[in-house]
Amino acid sequence: MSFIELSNASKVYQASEDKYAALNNISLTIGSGEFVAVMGPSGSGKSTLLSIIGGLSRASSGVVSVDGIDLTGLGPNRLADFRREYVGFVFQSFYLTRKDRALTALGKVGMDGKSQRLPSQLSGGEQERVAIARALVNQPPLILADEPTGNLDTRTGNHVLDVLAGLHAGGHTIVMVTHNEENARRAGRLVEIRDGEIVK
Amino acid sequence: MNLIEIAAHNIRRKKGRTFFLISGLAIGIGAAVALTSIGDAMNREVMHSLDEFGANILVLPASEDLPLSYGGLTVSAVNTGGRMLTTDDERRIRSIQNNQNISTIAPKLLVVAKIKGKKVLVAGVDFGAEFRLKKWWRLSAGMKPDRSGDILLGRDAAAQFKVSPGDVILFGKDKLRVSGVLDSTGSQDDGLLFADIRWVQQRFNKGNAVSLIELSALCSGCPIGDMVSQLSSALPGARVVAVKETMELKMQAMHYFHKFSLGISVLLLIVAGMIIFFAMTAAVRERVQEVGLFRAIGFRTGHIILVLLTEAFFISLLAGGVGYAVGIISPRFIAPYLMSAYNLTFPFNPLLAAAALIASVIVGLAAGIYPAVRASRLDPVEALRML
Repeated sequence: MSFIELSNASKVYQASEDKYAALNNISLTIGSGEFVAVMGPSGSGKSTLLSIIGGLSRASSGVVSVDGIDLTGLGPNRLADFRREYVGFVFQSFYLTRKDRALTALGKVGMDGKSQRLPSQLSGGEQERVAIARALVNQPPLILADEPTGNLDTRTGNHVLDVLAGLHAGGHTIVMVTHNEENARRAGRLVEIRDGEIVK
Repeated sequence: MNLIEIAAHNIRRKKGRTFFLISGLAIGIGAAVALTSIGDAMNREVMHSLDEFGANILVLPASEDLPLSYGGLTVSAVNTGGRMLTTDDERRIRSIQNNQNISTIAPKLLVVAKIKGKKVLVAGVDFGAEFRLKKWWRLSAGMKPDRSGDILLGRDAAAQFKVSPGDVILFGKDKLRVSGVLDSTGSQDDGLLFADIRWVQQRFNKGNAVSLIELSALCSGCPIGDMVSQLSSALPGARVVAVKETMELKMQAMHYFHKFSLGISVLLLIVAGMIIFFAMTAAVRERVQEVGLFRAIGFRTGHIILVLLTEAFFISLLAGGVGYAVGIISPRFIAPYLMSAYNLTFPFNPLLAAAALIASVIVGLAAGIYPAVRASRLDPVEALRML
């Protein structure tokens, strides 16, 4: 059974008279424990796809469900509960967490020796690993990473991908948006999106 | 880390902003507390002065035979029938429930006498009590009477009899020494002759009778109406009258001070609330990314509001405490320069302290609600786009 399921999901943004479809009738299934890379040019709808899978925004039409939960029918507070229980977002470094869980999560990404450092005292790769640690704090089954290696050099980016691969090996379902084909190949499956539609 | 810890952490993290917010609200609260304290202290001082300024209760005989006027009031039963008041009534007056509010008891015996062929109203008084009661009495010449045969004359009476201090007035067989002459008071006292009440009682065969008793009641903390009722019960057959003008003046003074300090305090709190409002609105704009992340990791809108209002609560509580301290201490240094005419005191007032804290928290929370609700409604996708 699929863990994530999108069926004819669309996301339309409307500014006064103008309508813009960021996602157009997308259907996609992702199994539990899969590591999926989403590729596509800027403005193709990758981040929008991530935000509706993660419950940050709701699809304008169609069905989006995660672990059998229909996200399109949830109100703002229930969506917040869903995000808390199911999703870990990887954006950038942030410090908000309980100390014991933070230390455990930092251990998972090899950063437990630097728990006392300020963000400004960490390198870009270290900050990204802390961001992953933050996403792991609530031990969510689903990790959504939006360009996790975007601002990093190749070597540091590879370290971050190693961390994500390790999490995948540990049973987490991972959906990663990336521009980089080499990085995308580290995932078990590649989804390509263009103009709001899945092309591959 | 729970929501309260997050709020506390944010307060510690943004020390400059926290200091600014606390200072803004504390200045408002402090000024309001200082104003209220000064208003209360002036009130107490004015009330005390007014209490000392003269009689505010008159005890008169109930009979209305042969009225005589004294101080604009009709004094009855001076020479004829009816129940006379006596010096023993002073003891009954002292026995009322609110006796601690009685500052001075000044009995008077009024008699009409003929001196040098002219009729004059002689007031037998207890000079000690009379001078305490009539603080406006000033001697234009001579000194206060200090023995039984001494008399004091109003300015007009002294002019009429052409006497000055040291002169002797013959009163039948008695020789009375003029000890002093009062400065003009603009009242009936100017035409009176004042003698010791015991001498008047004896000389005119009045036993221990008195015509009226004037009372000065310290009524800052007592209802004058209650005292009048208690005195009426203690003195059956006597008529007890509250002097309205004095009381109305007191009430008016109190009313003005309260109104003034309340108005300015409300104004200051509104200004302080606006400072908090704008500072918190600006802070929310600065914290869009943080709020977006909170939302992304599963904070409900209520959680965001709670975090921001908890911050506002802690800040305003602290500001209330600091504001009260500033407001209660500063008048001690400022008052001597601004209001040297008054002897103002500023005791710790737990009610005012509680009011300062509550007002501060209410202002802080009220000013923080809109920014907090606005923050909670931020679209997390939009907020995270800024990361």
